[in-house]
Amino acid sequence: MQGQGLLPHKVKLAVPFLNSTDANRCLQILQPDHELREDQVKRRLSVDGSNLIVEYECSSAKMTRVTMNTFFENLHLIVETMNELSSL
Amino acid sequence: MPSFIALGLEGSANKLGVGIILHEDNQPAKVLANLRHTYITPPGQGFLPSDTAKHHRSWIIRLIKDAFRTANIKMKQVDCICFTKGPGIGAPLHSVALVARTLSLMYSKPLVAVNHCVGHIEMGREITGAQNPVVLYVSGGNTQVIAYSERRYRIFGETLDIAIGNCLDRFARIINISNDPSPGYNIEQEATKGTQFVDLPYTVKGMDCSFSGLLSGVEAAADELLFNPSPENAGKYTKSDLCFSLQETGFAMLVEITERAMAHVGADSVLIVGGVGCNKRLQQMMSEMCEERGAMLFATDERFCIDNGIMIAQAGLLAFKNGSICSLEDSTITQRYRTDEVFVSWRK
Repeated sequence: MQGQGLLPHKVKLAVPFLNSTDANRCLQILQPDHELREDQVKRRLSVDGSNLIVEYECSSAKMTRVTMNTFFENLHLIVETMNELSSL
Repeated sequence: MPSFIALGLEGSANKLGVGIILHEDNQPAKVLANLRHTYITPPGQGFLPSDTAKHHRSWIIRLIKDAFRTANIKMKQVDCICFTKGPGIGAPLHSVALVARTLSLMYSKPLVAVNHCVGHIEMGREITGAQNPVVLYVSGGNTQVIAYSERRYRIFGETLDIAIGNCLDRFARIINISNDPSPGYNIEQEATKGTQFVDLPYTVKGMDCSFSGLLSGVEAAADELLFNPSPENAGKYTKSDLCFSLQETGFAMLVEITERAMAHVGADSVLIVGGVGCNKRLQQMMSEMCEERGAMLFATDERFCIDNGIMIAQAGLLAFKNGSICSLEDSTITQRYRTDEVFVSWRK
């Protein structure tokens, strides 16, 4: 990625799902949104088996905390929806 | 002609709404479910984006379950999932959009992105039967005078700064009025007890209006007459008097710009939509103007005035029946979304 030195804080997560369908769905749900501060946060989403792989590169520790916080809130909402609203 | 069912999800401000609507041929639209939960802050506090989003995240799943139970239908009977694309506050809008996308993928249902303002207009038209009114859309976030022409809801006049509802809500915080059920409702109740009119800035500029001066003016009046009055003013005025004066001034401005738009297009009716549209004093003032012009006034009750999910389902289903589907890539939300950006395919 360009300008990697500007985004020194890197986080890589592997979120396990029950199967690759769910992992891919989660990726599709998260994909459309752009990060608000694209010069300070870069995100890459991919799927490996039944894991959703999320890679973030952030400009500062604070940006990393804020970004990860928001990511987990969103992830929680998506997973909870998949779990709780599967038999409407 | 088959019947259609739409699920509507709304969360652009502090109200979270889930609605399910049924369209059967040649019948008025049927509300199968219209549930709402409001994020209410303590007196003196407004609602902040991240807290509002947190509220929506914690209520949306149970609200959706309850809506399906109330409507007594299954998701397989639903034709499309409609959600508010904007305008509104980013974080809360986004949390609702995420759920819409998730459900769309889980159940393979098409998504429909809806403009919040168009939702208000279409629900107002459906409930009241108003044919082609001038629409006054007034809420905490929006103040627009709208008329339909050639496939667009055209904005004839609007606030140049803050919405009338924002002016009311912020004043409510200053005089510590409760936000339960809403600050505007409590200001309305206070205003009925007002007996003295205080002169406040009245700002109409052609087809548009401005409320920031009115807000500054009423804040200054609160300081001079309530909080730090001079000896001759001490105890003379009450907060009811200020609530009364604020409403009279702000609403008169709205009546003026509505009337100007009516004269411009030769309209014979007015439809008031949006949360501030619940206000009985505003309805009364507007009806006096309409009576003078031989025009009709249409308004809805709090089920439909205040932000709700059914209006999103209604506007969404109208668009869906005319082919408007939203791809996942396009299902992002936006804080700014002009009413006239929407192509109104379902009207001539």
